[in-house]
Amino acid sequence: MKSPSPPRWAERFLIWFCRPEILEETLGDLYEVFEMRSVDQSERTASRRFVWDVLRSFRLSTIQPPHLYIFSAMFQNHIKIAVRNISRHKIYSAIKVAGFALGIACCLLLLLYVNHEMSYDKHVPDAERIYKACHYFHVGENEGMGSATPPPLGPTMKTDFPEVEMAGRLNPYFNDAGTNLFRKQGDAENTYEEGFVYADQEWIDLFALTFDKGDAATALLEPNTLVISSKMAAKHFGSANPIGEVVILNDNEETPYKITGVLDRQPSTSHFEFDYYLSMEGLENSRNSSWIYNNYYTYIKLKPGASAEALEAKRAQFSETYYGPEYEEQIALDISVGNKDGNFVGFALQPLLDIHLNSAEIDPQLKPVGDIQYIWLFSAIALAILIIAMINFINLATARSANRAREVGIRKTLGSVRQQLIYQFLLESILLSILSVTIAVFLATSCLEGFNSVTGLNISMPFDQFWFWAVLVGGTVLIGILSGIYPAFVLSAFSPIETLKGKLSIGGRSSTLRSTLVVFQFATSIVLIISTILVYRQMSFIQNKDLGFDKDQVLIIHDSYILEDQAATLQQKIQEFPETKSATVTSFLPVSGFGYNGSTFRPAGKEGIEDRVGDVQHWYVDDQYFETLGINLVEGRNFDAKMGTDSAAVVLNETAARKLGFDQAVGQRVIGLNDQTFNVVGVVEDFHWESLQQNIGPIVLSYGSSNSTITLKASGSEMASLIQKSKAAWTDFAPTQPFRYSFLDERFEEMYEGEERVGTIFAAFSILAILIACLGMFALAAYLAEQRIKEISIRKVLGASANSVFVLLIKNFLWLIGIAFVIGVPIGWYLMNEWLQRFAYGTSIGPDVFIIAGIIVILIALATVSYQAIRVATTNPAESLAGE
Amino acid sequence: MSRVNLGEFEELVLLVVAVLHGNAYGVSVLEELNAQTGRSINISAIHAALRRLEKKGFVTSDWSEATTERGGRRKRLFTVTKAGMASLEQVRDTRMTLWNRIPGISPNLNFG
Repeated sequence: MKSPSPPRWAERFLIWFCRPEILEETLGDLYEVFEMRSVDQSERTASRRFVWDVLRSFRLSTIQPPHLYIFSAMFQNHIKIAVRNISRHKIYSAIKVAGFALGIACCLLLLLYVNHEMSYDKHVPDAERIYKACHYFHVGENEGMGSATPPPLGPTMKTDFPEVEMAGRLNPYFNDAGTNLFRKQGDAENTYEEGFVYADQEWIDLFALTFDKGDAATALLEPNTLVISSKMAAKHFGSANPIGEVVILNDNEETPYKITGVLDRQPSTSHFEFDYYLSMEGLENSRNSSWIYNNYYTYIKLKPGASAEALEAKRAQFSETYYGPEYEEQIALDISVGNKDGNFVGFALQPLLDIHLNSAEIDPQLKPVGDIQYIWLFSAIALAILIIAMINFINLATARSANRAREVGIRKTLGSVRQQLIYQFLLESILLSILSVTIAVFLATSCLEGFNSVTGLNISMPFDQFWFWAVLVGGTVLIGILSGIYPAFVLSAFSPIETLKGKLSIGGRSSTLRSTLVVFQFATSIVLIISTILVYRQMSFIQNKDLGFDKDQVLIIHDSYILEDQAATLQQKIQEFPETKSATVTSFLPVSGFGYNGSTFRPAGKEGIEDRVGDVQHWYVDDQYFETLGINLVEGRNFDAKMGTDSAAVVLNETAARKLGFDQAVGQRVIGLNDQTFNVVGVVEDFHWESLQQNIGPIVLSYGSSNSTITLKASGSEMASLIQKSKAAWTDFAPTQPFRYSFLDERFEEMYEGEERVGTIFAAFSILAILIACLGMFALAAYLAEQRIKEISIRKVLGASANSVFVLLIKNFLWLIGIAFVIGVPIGWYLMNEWLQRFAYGTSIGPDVFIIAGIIVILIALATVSYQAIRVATTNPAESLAGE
Repeated sequence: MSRVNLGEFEELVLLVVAVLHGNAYGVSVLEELNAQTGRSINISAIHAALRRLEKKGFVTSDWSEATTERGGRRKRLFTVTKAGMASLEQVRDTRMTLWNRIPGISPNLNFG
């Protein structure tokens, strides 16, 4: 019969914590008592009591101080050996460290970027309670959201909804918003300044904007007051206090503005950025009670505990009460609660913290927003690169394991336990990790400038933040452990007998793993290369696509509204220059930055809701517009200055004609807002008036005047002299107004800055990924070549040519790359397909992209491996076999 | 001689060690104590007390011979030192003096 014994685990626990010098007698006594109890009572009780005794024995006088590995004598030895190993194999160590450092530096920069993008608006107090009231409509089949809302929305929400604590408004459109001429009262010279916007006091309260000078609680209560940023204060007033100073905008002496505050420097992670806040009290339109025009940004702050969902649930009723009457009257749209078409026009709440990353469908925005997709993308890339670097490490460590075999054998013979060996190898990889991270931090800091200019951001290394160091240290240890754990297990498994006999196979089994890892590295590189090629292709496609209008050699002269009626006169004067092919006065140009609007039209005689076309641009242009921009008429005629009836004439674009249901548009009549009727006199070819990400929308072009710019087409390449002459002419008409101009094609390119940036980043990462993968491959090839030197020499002696040896060595790698290609291509294709969906007009993905990517990778890999292969293939067999 | 500091429990354990005279170790002290006083103490408390006594110099200890029971583990046997005896006597004397000073109790009680 088996003699009873107490629970093993309790015994082990005691052995673990008990001081060795009293262990024997203590455990013995416990045993004896256990045996007695087993007999007297039951084994179960005895076991239970044993456990209790063990627990009670856990006293100050019995426990031993913990032996941490760090304080043990072996630690010093391990460090010494680790350092020696690193310095003895400088090349391999350098490759390991270089790969890691590059990968980590990449990760670091990308993480900083992601962190920056994700922390927008977090600094605003009570940010979770702040919402943007967006304009939302669902009419028939159309649905959309926009940023601009009716003027009375903010104040009405505050009075009607008890949940709303504050409602602030911003207006970047009217009167003195945007850019202005600026001078202090009493000065003669104006300067051009940008970044003006109307805001009310509640806006300042809502965002808790902090003031450097002036009183934040009252700054914008009075009309004609102005709050400026600290940057502008320094620019205009130096170190003097600008409070109380009076400034004149656009030479308008009748409404001067008084400066009532200077803002503190705002964090760059704010989704809006203005330099001059004008008091909305002075804007007549802010008291406009019309609900049909959308030109205000409305933000609300909810009371603590209030729910945005509950508030949004009330909006149907709210819309019926307020929006309803005017929509019914002016465009005959029924948006009452429960209306038969399910139409809705009203507000939708967007959380403040969502704005920066989740506003893809909401136009326009106060400042360019980011995109959550890019955040995911870049995070994924950073991770991929890091993994590639770690793979390098693992591969190199396991491949060269034979070198350490004898050391392991001796250590084990001398009494090392496997766990100690594992600690030793982990320590080595953590040391390398520390070295790499240090270098990476230096690398990242020095590349920060370049990175900032590529991404257009202003990030700095957060050396002062606690979390940064915590993440860095934690990351170092984690990376060291993750990459070191597999090699540690492999290395510590060697049997002492085998290794000392010299009979060790060169990590035969692990070569499958190694090959897999190499395939992964190269597959990732292939995906990155494919992505880069396609992004660049898309960019050039956009540049070269036929836009329906001619963007080259087009000069835009800004601010001609200043000239009022004289603008047309100036236009004619400029038209007379020989360098000018054509000139037009217009506020509407097919690039972003010029007024877009949204209107509804329907064909005359059709009253149904399905005949209504919403979201139609309504532009006012003169008779030179189409010629200047090179837009072709496909039906009918251009406007004619001599025809009196043309004051009610419109030209449609093809999409508008189609949407309005016209086969033959010329001669038809359309009805717009306020029941205005127009005659269609012509149809023009569709042209891209928005970014190529959008489908072309309908435009109705009225013959009328809008005079923000004078836009000219140069005939030939006389642009420089054209500018000169225009400037001279301008100065005649508007001597105190600076002459400001830009080029249509430049403004066009600006629309795609975001995508271009992505392309550059992709290219940079592709190069990095391949670099790291090649580093790894180089080292691996070197090592394997070395291992096979004897075999190669024997082959050569037996008659193999250098060529055949070369092929032999290359074959294995080519095979791996082939597999990587097969894996990488579908992934790359899928990802790029997703990305190109963002563009309504995109290039096609042809097989040539994949072929190019494949060729690039093969060439690079070949170059890397060839060096080693050639070296080995051309060695003199006599030298390497001499030792036999 | 300086004032001796002997806790109540320590005094009991020391007495039992003296009683067991050369056969005192964790388990035997535990059993004797239980038999004589009815108190069932946890063995770890006994161990702790014995260690304290050894530190104070009132007992010494040494290994016993190995036996097959207790899983082959040796016992630690404790014996009272002269200092230990002296401290016990001192305590006893102090108690006696105090008892004698209680009015109405006849002396020479419980001694024999």
